[in-house]
Amino acid sequence: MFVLHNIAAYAVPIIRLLLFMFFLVFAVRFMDERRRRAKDAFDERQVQNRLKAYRIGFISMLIAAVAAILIDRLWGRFRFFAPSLFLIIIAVGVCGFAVYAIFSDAFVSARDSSGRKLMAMLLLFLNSLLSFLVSLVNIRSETDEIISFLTVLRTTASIDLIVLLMFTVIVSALLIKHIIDRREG
Amino acid sequence: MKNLKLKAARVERGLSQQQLADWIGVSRQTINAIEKGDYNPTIRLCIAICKALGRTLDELFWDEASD
Repeated sequence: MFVLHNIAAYAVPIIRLLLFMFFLVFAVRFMDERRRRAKDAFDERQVQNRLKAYRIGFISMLIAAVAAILIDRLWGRFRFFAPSLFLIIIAVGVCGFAVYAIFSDAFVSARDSSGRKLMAMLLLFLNSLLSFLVSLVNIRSETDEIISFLTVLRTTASIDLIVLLMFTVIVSALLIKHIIDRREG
Repeated sequence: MKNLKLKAARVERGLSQQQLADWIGVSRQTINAIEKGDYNPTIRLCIAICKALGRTLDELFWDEASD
């Protein structure tokens, strides 16, 4: 009886561990498959340019991080909502990658159309715009103060603002590139 | 250096840059970059272009001026 009780006590964590391992293997396989398909979708010139874009994105993130430290040292503590600071650094990196990739024709794969990608990004931009507006309404309902830029920076609305700015940069770059491509024919 | 031989062979076949790009599975901008001499393709892509246009590597990519 004691042995059976012990087996039951061990069985649950072992089954949980096995399930976790199964899902981990499944997730790794799924991500690897997605990566392989994404790699196949871009041609060799695009893959080269994307590697440069990743490098630029990484360097942009490093510069943003150093700039954040310097600003922190020079002007005292940030008035930002703390997690937004990390998001700004990531957003700068994403923007660096996206802008370089867009203007070197490596953002949209050979099998995808730039118009469809632009529409998808436009939807994400509108979604982030709505999120930001909802955050502003929430701030307004909590306080009677006039919402200033600094108020936004101190609250969770700053996260929505950063995401909105990031998508604004990406959509603008895509739009400019789309117009240039159409002019070139 | 511009690859005028590739452009001539493509036009001779009556293909646009987009059609040739779709044929060999690359982007139009890649074909444009090769024709303008902004990008040096790998031997694998050169062979794919040659097969699509029915030409040899020498005919499309050999530079007589460097001999």
